[in-house]
Amino acid sequence: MKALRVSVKAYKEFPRDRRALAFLLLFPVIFVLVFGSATFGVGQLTAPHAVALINEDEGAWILNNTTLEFHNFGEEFIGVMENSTYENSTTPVFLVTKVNRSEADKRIASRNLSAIVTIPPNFSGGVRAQINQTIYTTVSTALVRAVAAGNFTGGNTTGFGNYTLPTLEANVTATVVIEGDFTYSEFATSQAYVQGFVDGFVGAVTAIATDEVLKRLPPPLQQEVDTGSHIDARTYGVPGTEEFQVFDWMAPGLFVFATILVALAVTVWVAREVEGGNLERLKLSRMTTADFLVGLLVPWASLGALQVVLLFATSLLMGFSWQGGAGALLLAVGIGTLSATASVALGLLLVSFVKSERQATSIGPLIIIPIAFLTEAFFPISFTPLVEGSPWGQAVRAMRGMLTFGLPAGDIAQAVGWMAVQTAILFAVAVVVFRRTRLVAE
Amino acid sequence: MPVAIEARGLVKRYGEFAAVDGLSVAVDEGEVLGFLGPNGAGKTTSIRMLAGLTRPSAGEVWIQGKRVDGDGRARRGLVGLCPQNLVVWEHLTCTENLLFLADMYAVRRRESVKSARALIERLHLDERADILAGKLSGGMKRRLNLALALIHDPPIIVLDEPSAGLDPQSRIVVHDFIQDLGATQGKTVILTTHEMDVADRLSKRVAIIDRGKLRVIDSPERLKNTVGEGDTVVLRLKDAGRAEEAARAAAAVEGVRGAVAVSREVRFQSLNAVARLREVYGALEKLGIEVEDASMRKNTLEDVFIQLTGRALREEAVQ
Repeated sequence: MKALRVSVKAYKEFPRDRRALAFLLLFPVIFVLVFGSATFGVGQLTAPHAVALINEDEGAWILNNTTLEFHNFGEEFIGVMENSTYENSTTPVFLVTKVNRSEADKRIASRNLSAIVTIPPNFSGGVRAQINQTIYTTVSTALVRAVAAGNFTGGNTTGFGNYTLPTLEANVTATVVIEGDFTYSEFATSQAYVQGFVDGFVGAVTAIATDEVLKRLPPPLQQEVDTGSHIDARTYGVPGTEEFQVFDWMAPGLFVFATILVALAVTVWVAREVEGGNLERLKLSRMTTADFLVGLLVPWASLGALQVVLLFATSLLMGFSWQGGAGALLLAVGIGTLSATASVALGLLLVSFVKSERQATSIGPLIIIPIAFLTEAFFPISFTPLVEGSPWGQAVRAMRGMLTFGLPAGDIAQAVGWMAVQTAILFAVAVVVFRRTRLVAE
Repeated sequence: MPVAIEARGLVKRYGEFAAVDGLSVAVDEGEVLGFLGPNGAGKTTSIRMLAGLTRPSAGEVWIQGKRVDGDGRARRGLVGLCPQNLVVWEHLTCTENLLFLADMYAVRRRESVKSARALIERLHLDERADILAGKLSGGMKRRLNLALALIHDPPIIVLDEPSAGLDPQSRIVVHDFIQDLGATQGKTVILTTHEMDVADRLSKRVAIIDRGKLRVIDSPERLKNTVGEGDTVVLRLKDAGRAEEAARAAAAVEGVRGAVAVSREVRFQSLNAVARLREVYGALEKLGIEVEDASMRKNTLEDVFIQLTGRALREEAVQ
């Protein structure tokens, strides 16, 4: 009951303390408006490109002279990608990750990967078709040239080796699929590199096959010919991202950023109660630690929910194309509430060590703003433990995965679960520290 | 009269410095105790320990015959504290302030509404009852500050300079209110103040603390009669030429100090001067010296205070 009264008091104070309310509600809205009308994206020319490779290649039997050999050219292609480095550099071109599709989607959503490369089941078949096509075209072209030169007489082929022309597989085309988020500048670069590697691989296969044929032909007939290609690469957006703008990636991060600001507001709010002596007044009463903390948590956490709703509405005005429907929105509000709960805990922890409102306003941002930047709210972080180690980082991933990339609830359950655990631990630590420093006799 | 609250050998040390050093004082139920001392003497630390906001380094606090632990849980609700600073919730109205704190003391809503109304009326806050506390004048905030200490009807009330900075009208309201607490409502009040006249007027007893130690505790009247230079008496003589003779005669009376002749007057000091005057008059009569007029400035509590604590600025002394 006393906790309820503490909450009611806070609800009364919120609209009357306009500065604090403006900081919490107006400031994030301005952020959304600013980022919504800005573009974003930076990259380095020689940085490795993190790509996921999904090899679905089933392999193919290939006749090498008289030996039938089984090859999985998908594996060989992956090996080429893994071992490639930039020219005159030891920096790898790709950081290759082999994961399943669901995991790859999640990492694309969090921008830990720039592209998903899927090697199709008929990739080796495509390579075989490419080899056969090369042999067939090269030999038949040489044959035509021999006839023209008068070297072909009555069914004998002077100077030609003794082998059978391979069967053409004209209908075989293996398509390597490159998928990613079109709003992510890094994807543009990565897909171009992958495309180049596919072309290079096809070129290498063709060159080897051509060499093998040409060295068996008499020198006058040794001429490379254009053999066409049975392997290509196509680029697609990850489902749901084709029409994305940069802001679509950013908006969910801003929702979480707003809830992180609750930590600063709580720090200032409670510091004011400490400095003014109000908390001491309450310490003399029958109010328990639980009354105070629950009473504090309920209004601030609900403010987090309000922030998400308000910023979502503002984002829609800025053209945020979201996915997932009402259920996802409801879940996003829940994630916002949980994120605000973690922020209340952080605020309590900070206010355990500051003695005045002035200290809170000067020290609080030094802690809170870096935390906000390490959540991937604004840009991807390559060192993922920094992101995954905080409830807000998990919140950004969950909310972005759901609202931007349309991941189903099951796919974000792990992030939400971790977030809940991290929040519970943070809150428990905050309660113990806050109680010892602020709610017992000095 | 049973003891309401008692400090037994209370000590509070901050490193080597003892802010309070072995304070022992018992306050009876219904008594108003003036708790005086220079700045930095240890008053606030003492009352914080009594209220349960500061844990003593040594010593005990007993309330209504029971020892209470250091963190103040056992005394929750028994002690109402009016702090020296204005401690109000600025974004709540006067009424909301009072009702919220009453809720924290688990006072039933019907009772708290009644108490809040009574306090608001008694402290002349009725016209501003529904105004945000942050918009009240300093005097009104101080009255609200006082009301907040009483909303849960505690038997023991600790008032830390409740009328500091108030205008004369507000001081009258607050002082009458404090007097009423002890005299009519039977509350035990511990009152710290730098206004010696207020302590003299409102307190049944006065305790003077300095450098963390209790220097004296007694009724104001007895202190004024036993501590310090005493009352100052001025006798105006008919014959100016006999002033020196009269001063010598007065100085010969036991208990009279510093007798001097100034023009037609003889001035001297004495504790409980009223009792000494008869003897001085007798001595002058014997010499045939006639007194035209007499006046007396009574020994004040401030005189007692200065006598016990000295004239040096205490913040400097503490440093």
